[in-house]
Amino acid sequence: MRGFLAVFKRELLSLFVTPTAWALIVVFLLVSGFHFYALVVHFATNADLSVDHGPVQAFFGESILFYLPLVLLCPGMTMRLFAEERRSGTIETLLTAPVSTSAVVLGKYAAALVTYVAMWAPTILYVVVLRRAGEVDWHVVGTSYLGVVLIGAGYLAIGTLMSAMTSSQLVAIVLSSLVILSLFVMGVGEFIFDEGLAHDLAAHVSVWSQMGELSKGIVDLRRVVFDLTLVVAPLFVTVRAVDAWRWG
Amino acid sequence: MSRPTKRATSSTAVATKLSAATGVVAAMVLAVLANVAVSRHFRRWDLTSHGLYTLSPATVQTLHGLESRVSFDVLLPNADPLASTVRFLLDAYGAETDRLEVRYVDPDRHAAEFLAVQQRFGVEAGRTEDGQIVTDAAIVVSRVGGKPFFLTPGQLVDSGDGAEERARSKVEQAFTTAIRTVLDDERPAICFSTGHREKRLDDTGAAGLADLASRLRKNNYDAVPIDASRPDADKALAACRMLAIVGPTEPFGADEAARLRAWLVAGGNLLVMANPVPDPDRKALLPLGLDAVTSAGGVALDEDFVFELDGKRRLPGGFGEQYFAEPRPHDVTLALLGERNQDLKILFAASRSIGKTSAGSVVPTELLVTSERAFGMRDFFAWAEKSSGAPERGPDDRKGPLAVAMAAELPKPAGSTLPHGPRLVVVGSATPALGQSFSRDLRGGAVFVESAISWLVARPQLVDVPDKPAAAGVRIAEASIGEVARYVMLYMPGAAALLGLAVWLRRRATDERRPGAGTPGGLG
Repeated sequence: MRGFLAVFKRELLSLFVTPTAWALIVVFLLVSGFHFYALVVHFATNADLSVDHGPVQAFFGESILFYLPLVLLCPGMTMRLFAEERRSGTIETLLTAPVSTSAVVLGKYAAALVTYVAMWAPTILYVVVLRRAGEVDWHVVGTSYLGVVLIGAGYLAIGTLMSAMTSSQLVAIVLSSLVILSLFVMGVGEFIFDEGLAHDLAAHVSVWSQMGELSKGIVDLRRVVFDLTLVVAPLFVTVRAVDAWRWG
Repeated sequence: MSRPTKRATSSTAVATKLSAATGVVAAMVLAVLANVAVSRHFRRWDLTSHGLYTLSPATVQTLHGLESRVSFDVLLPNADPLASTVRFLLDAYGAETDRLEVRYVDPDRHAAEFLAVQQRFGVEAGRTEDGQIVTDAAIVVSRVGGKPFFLTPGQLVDSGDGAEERARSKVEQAFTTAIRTVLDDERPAICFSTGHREKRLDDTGAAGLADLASRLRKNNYDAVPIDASRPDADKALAACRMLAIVGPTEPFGADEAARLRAWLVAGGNLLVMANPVPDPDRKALLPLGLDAVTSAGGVALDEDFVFELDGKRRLPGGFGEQYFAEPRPHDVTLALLGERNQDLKILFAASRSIGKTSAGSVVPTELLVTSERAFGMRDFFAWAEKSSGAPERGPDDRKGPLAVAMAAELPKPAGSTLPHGPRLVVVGSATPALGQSFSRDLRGGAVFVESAISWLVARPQLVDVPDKPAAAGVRIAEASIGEVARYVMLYMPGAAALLGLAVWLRRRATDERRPGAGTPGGLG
């Protein structure tokens, strides 16, 4: 645990003192801000007569502007976790320290996850703005942010694995983006395939449907389990990969 | 290093790699198995504040009590705002019973399948200007061997009043009602009187009732013609939820009228739509003999011919015998009121005015009226024979504004357990019920007639399935939009940029004070 906390603190500090993290946060807030503003204009000028559709539902998952930052920012946040250390040679220092491989991987991953959550945290102010203009179901807001965290956690785990597979940050970001984009595209198959195995498979991995449900206040065990496997499996492989450098 | 030691190291490395690979493969298999298992045995939680997708005990009880299979054919396009709500709720229904079959047929994507459903159930569809298919039935609920129950989008949502414009879900109520109805297999009969040269149900022309009959079937009613002049009409009437007398041109006999009145007072519901009928022999308008019936509700059919002289109401051409009637607030006219419904015009042609009788305790309510400039000409033949120029109001004529449709609710008969007494709607023209009123431009008339029939045959709501709350609404003034834009697109990213700059400057200053210091290294 001590080893984990040490790695976590070091990683968090290094993430926040680099201009990259702040640049990512600014870009993210610009994109999200524009997205939110567009929705506010829409809902202020159009009466939507759907029974369970409001600005919160629209913001969380009904537009590509929600998924774009997820697909692009998560790989950007994780690309340097291991690749940079391997390139600069600091990984040797880290691996010879009396810290278990799991603590190293989990510490780095947790730091990326906290940065990701910190990036989303200001968007709660959007909901406060909405609350001033109308009604907000805070339970639905809660499940929406649960979705944001679950999906982000999975994507960051994939990014962590890709960063551990290469010593080039560029290759890491490209690989992570490709895997995440493939998952996203697979999910879109839900709207293309007719009922059957392909449709069910696409529906199971569909991030679009997942956010559609969570942004309406529905928590489905299948989605939660899928997200958890998307976190656990890549992190497990990452641990084995780092172990392989350490002992192999 | 000696050869045996090298070999030993090499075999250890192979064993380590093999073990790592096995672990990775095992983890992947476990992950897949966990997902397969949970996809078969899963749970969903509705965490909305008001349990929007949580089924009421009445619905759960209905589903648990299902003894035969019930099918839902959902004909909503994927892009429809109701599609996800319907899907979520049907998932919840499916979790309670295995006797429910749900098929989703997107009319835009599965044209052939949609056509098959259309043929099977007689669903009508049209195309919007952008090519999207719209159906009058959004969902068809059916049981093998039973009659289908049609649900229209309007039955799934309560759009709220004009001021609020906040939608309220009625999906669960509609679904549970539909299931109970198909199991019941009862479809209320709406009877149409014949025998007095009334408008015909099988007439598909602009002056026929075929369109109305089709709409009624979609709304789960049977349109049944009955000859009210037959001596044994009582038996046929007993099976009618409502009787419609539309456009009669021959008078009802006194016996007939008395029979109809007795049926009405005893709990029947009656819709009378009667134009003035010229009698060339008498050179006067023909009394239809229905006053004896309508007077039970305090309503009288005036023997006059309405001319609308207000240029904003009357149709161009003619003398004002064709005009748009104005709705007055009542349950029947709710769908026609408000700014949103200004396009719904109710065309009247060759109409009579409707009055109140002085006797009786029932006070009828006006549903539709003319303008102040309209008048009801009593001596129609005198004007018609002159055939010269525009009609003018004479001293004997009725002065506008005139009521051209009225509704009344009679006292409940003794021992009645129904939620309301017998109901009566009397309209001074048959036009709103005719085929021409079902065209897009004149659909106000059709909406009025459908609303009147809904009110007449109203059944109590399923009180055991509670109303869902209205969707969360947002009202933002235009002036506030600029403020929101500044906050979310300028202040917030700007604050993050400044914070990042401050961190970077501080770090640079620290680095300068500690020459040789790099990125944070070491642990702790």
